Amino acid sequence: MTNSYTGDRREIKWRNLGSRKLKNTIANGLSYLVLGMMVVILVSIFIYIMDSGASHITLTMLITPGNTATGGILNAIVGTWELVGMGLLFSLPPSILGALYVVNGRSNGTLSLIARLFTDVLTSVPSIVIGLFAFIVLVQRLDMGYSLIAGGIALAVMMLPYLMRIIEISFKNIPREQIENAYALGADDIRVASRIYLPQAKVGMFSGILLAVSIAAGETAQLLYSAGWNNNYATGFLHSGVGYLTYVVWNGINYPTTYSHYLAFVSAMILMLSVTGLIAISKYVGRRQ
Amino acid sequence: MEEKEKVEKIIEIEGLKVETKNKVILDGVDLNIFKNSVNTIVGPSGSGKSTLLRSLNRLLEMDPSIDVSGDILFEKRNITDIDPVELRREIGLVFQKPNPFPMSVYDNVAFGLRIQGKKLKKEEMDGMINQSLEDADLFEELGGNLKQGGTSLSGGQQQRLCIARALVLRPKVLMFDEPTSALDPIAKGKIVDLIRALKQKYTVILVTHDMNLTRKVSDYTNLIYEGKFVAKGTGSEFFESEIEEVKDFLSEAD
Ligand SMILES: Nc1ncnc2c1ncn2[C@@H]1O[C@H](COP(=O)(O)OP(=O)(O)OP(=O)(O)O)[C@@H](O)[C@H]1O
Ligand SMILES: [Mg+2]
Repeated sequence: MTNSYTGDRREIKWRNLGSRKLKNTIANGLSYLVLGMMVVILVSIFIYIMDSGASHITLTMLITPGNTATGGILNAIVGTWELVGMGLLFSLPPSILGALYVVNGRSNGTLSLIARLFTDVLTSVPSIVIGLFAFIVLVQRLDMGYSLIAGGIALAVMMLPYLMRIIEISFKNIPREQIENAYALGADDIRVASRIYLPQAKVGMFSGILLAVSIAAGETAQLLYSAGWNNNYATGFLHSGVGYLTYVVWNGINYPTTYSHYLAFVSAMILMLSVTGLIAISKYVGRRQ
Repeated sequence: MEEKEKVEKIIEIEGLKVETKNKVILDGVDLNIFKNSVNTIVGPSGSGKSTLLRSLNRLLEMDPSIDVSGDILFEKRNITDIDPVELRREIGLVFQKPNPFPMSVYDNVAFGLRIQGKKLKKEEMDGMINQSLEDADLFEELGGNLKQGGTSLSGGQQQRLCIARALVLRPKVLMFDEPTSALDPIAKGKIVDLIRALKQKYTVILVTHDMNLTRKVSDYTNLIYEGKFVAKGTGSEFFESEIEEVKDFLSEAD
């Protein structure tokens, strides 16, 4: 019986091979074409921004704060990383817990399904909507004002689904038997998490964090309504607006002076360098695993 | 039969039923496990052997799609009244596939001790780890190098590392799920010796396809067939059984 089955399969394979090969060639050709176009577009954007940024950058811009029209952008550089760090602080713990919950599969499927649905929906909510929500709930209703906390939470909402997905994938790569064996040796949930899941998923989690950070660093829409802006450094976690690079890009371009345009280009360049750098590191680390 | 009554039962399984939504895996299993003996479970692939082992240490109930009913008594206590963490330290399981953690040999064996949160002195810990590796007949072979990675050992060594990892907790019962299926004859011979030695101190439950191994080590042999035990007997009783399924199984296995 088994033999005749494999025999059948081989026949089917032979019959379809010709047309499948052709289809494959066409599909491959098309994807290479699209890929090529994308690379060209991306590279030209990259070169344009690098060129415009590099030709107008000055040391003063990098070491003084400013208001997007005069002064520098140090407040925006510092603020960007403060906001992103805050976003990570709010999104990493729930992402890890959520991923553990989904992967460990102790609950009946329904709750995991709801968690999955929730994160999927979250990924597709436009960031301006998250921003608006942050404004109404955090800034106004909870009276946080434009602030690091409000901005951090707004970023966290966006980072969470990405983080959770990537962490979940690195958890799933751990052989199931290893998890079961840890339980069989008398480990409880907390020990299995801290001694098996977390150490083994370290690298995957790290690259996930870098990716989420790089995505968050390039966000403007939800920060406009939650972090506001500050011509100087934020003075506290609440009721003190925060500067960030994407704001300088957006506002600087709209402001009708050459210097403000320069500030915008330099900010864009710094953002792009950081983001590509982070993604490169995350890919490199991920591959070494 | 007379001889059987004298030996103490350490585990009593009564009407154990394990099922998923659309399938009955174990269909009312009754079985006694005798103390300081090798209790062997044989049966065709898919008959529910691994499932039975996983229900004894309550690993099975972590899978929400599986429904377990019936009674399992461990030393006269219903296992549902025993904290699973404690139960799993008393009833150790060596899995079908050797799967060391990606850490050193030492850390692999230390795992079960460290998670207990008890503070052990370094010498005490070292002593227990060396002893377990010796009991699992691995210590000499590694030449005392316990820093090497557990996953870099050979298959047979990994299997014995997993045995040492279970032994270090000094369980009362040790369950082996097909310990020889992936091993060459020499490594198999070592497991045979090991199981014989272990039953002095432990109760052994052995799941295997290997009738040679069964002949050599088994005190009580039980044949499971489609989720039910169809034959039980002491070593010699079993092999001389007139039960149809036993004869079929033996002729196919040999
Ligand atoms: N988590 C599960 N969900 C659904 N079905 C399962 C699950 N675990 C086991 N089964 C089914 O239960 C039956 C018995 O499986 P089990 O692994 O206990 O068999 P086994 O006797 O150990 O077989 P083998 O000798 O191949 O290891 C199989 O048909 C298997 O598909
Ligand atoms: Mg099995």
